[in-house]
Amino acid sequence: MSKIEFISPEGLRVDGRRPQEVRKINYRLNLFSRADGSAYYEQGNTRVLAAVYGPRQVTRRGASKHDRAIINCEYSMATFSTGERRKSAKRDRRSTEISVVIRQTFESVILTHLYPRTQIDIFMQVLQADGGTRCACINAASLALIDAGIPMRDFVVSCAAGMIDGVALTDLNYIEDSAGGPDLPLAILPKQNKICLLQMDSKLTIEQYEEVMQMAVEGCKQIHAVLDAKLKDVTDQLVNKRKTLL
Amino acid sequence: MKLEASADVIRKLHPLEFYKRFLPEGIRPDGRNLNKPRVTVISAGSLTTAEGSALVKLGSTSAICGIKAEVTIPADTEPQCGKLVLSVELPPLCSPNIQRWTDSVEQNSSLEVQIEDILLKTNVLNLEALCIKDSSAVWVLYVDVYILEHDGNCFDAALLSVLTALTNVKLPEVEVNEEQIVSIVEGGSTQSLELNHYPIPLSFCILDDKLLVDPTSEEEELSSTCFTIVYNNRGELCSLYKPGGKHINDDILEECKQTTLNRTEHIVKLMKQANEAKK
Repeated sequence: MSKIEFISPEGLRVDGRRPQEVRKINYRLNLFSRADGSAYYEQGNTRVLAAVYGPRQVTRRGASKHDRAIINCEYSMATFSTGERRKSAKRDRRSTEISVVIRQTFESVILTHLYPRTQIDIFMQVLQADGGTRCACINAASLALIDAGIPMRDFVVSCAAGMIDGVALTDLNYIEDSAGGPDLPLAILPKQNKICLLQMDSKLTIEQYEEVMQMAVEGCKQIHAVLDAKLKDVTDQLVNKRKTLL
Repeated sequence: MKLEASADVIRKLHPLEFYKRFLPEGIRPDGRNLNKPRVTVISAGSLTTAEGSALVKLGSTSAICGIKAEVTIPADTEPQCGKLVLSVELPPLCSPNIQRWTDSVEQNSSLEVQIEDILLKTNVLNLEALCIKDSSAVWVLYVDVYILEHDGNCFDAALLSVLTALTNVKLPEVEVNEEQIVSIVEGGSTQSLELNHYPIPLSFCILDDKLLVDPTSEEEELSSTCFTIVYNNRGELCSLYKPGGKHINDDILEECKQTTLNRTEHIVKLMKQANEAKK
């Protein structure tokens, strides 16, 4: 079997992007009337939905915290979201791990002390997966939380980066992701320049790590710019509709 | 603090009283007449990872259906018949009342059984058309429906999304070699599925002794009974489903049957338009 050429001699990737380029991003807010906040997020061919319910009454009474809100996250992939059909759509090990990671990310960002004895639910559904679903879900959840008007320390944006054939690449798609190189999902607070999630489980030299990390940060910043610009437009439209800020 | 209660507050505290102010006037809180279904939007082929897909919106209720095709060995008793595996999911994303996956198990199963019965017993699809090679290889269609937003009447949305997705399916051309290995022909044509008929559903509920067409989830919760009628595009009755609740008389049923029958043509047209728009 011939090896796939991940970087062409011209320095372009399999889908025609340059190494530091993220895929096309598109999103919509407030899709669902019954959820408190919701977002549809598209990054290349990866498409996810996120809905936020709450702050609301705690489902399991024992889990309630007297000084803050508890956060519940659920990530699931639709059976038809991948090339080969996924057998169990919910509660497999990978989904649970991602749910936990996303919950921990948002626990540090949402101002939970403002809502003691409540629960905030974040549900994410992957409709189409083409690499980077974890990061796409964090971005979607972040947007849905903003749509729900839940106070946060900062925007959370997330982007993965990796390295193939010695070249650092940002925002890997499915083909690049399955090449077996390192994968480094990162979530940052762009205004405060802080890291809230970083995962890397592969062998890399320190120099290479610095390079990949830099790529991921660049990716996050690009995504933040796109999300922020559109969010301001959407907010402007809302204000214009109401004709007042209050 | 102001003691005046706004309409929204009354709606939350005394929902039934709230509805009783509207229904005698022949109008519902969302502005519809009692016998008017919500705006129905059907689109097909939006998912690229599935062999066939459809999104159906009934007002704000929305269902997405994706169909994946795989090759399998047929059952010994039916060596020429393909298979159809249906699943319906109501993820916690879809409604504030469903907080965990396990909360919707009963609802999922009853929707699955209802839809599967209609598809298989009224012979919507020729399972023989899914045969690749006698008694060695057939297609199995995994039909998965996700209710993305549950604002009442998700049966109608689910069934319509399944039908539209089935008409949207494109099966690749395959060949079988001597070792019985099935492979896709590179650059081959694709095959669509022919449906024998289109069973079109319409659901009703009785609220405060008034008959309401296409209820929202608020109306479903307040209603004394809900029922569904399915007619196909040839004017044949395909299914009646009234799971318990308050008793109804024949003339109400007759009236509902007529309303359903009148709607079939419009919906079949929407489905065909959705599929043509994708071609």
